Amino acid sequence: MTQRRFRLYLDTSFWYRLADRQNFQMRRDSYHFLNRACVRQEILVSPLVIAEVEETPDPEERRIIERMIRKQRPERLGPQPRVGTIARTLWQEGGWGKRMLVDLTHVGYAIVCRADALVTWDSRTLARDRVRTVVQAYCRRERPDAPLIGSPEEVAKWLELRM
Amino acid sequence: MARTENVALRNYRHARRKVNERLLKAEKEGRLDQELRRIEREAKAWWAKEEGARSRRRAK
Repeated sequence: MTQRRFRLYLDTSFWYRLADRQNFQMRRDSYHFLNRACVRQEILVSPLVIAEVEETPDPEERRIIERMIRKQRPERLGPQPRVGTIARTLWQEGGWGKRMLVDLTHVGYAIVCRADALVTWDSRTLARDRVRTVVQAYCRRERPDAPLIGSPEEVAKWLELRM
Repeated sequence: MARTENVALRNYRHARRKVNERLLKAEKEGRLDQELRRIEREAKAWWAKEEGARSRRRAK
């Protein structure tokens, strides 16, 4: 049986780890995820990821990340009219502080583009139970499937991808 | 012993904070959707620039 291609939204924190010169393990895990788990899957890159990458203060690091994004030939997410509304709704429903708006906008892109999973290394803000609960409640109400939100290892495990 | 700060993590947080500030400001002014359209236009220009650079590299 042919396994269907999963749509994987790779958050900015994931791309940053590919240029991490200090944490070898996270960099290696990121490369393994990209070169093994992502093979034959669809990689999604949103305009928000590009905006964040462009804010990278270190030009060398920015060049590495840009090169890696280009190399993957991802699906570039174009204009998505509902993203702002979804981000705002999740923000209000979760009762989060100001710093979460951008994180929830990433979730908005993942929902609108029907991503199977949002892959992030950011367990402090995104890959945590409270976010998953609010996103699942919203998606139950608005559409059938909520994207999984987790670290590369978690997503690889949940979707049974080789890493 | 003090732990060495991870530079990639610090840069990621810096970038995320900058974009968050941009979205927050827009949301406060009631133009979040417009700001997202602008970000989408900028990303489109970024991809066009990347493609242009790739074509030039191939042509060499």
